[in-house]
Amino acid sequence: MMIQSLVEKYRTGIMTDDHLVVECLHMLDPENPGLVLGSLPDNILLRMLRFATDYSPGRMVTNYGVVPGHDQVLAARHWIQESLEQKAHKTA
Amino acid sequence: MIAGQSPRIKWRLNPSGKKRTLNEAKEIARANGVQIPDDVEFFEDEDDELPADLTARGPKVTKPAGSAVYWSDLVNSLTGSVPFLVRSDVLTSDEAIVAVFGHEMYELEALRSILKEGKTAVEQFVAHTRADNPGNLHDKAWDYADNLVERMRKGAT
Repeated sequence: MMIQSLVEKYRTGIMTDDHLVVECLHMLDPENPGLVLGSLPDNILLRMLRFATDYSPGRMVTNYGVVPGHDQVLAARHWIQESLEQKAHKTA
Repeated sequence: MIAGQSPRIKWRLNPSGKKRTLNEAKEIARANGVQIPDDVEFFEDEDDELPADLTARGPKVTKPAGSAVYWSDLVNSLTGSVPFLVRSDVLTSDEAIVAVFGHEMYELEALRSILKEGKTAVEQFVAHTRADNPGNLHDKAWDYADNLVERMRKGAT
């Protein structure tokens, strides 16, 4: 499912913030996380960062579907943290 | 909140396969005893995401083992509502509408009070709502749904 379609579903209320976070992580290529993450609103990126910070490999529990992979979560965390640092330098 | 385990009653299709809109479905559900709170929204599964054995599905929750699930985890922050995705063919049976909407609302309202205590671990949340756990909330919700349809049929005769 295209990222734009997922974001649209979130904006119309079909999925929750956390559901969008997990679906986007599933789509993420760890070699190029910006392809997915660059399209996401800031509130979702911050939520994803929290998810990635709390993520515990092999210990995640979900009510349905698959849990994102550790490599995807790590790549997302690094990308978001770098993005936040770049923004902070720009406003400093 | 996965309405996937089979209820006892087989639902009848509407005459001529008449398909309801979501607004009509909500009215039919309410008219047959289902309480639908203002902070709930139903959506038709237009992309056929749901497999054939799932009539409806609530929010996805994914957390580290042992961590708490909160009511806010079920809510879309933009709309303030809990979303439910409903398979399209549910809308072609008023009995299915009453049963599926009733099932989901039964589970959700029970979870509302449980989750607001802030002490429900994700494992407990999954145990409450999964299909293969006899006697759990999900099972009781199907019993409730069956009763609604039985009353609906008695009311029609």
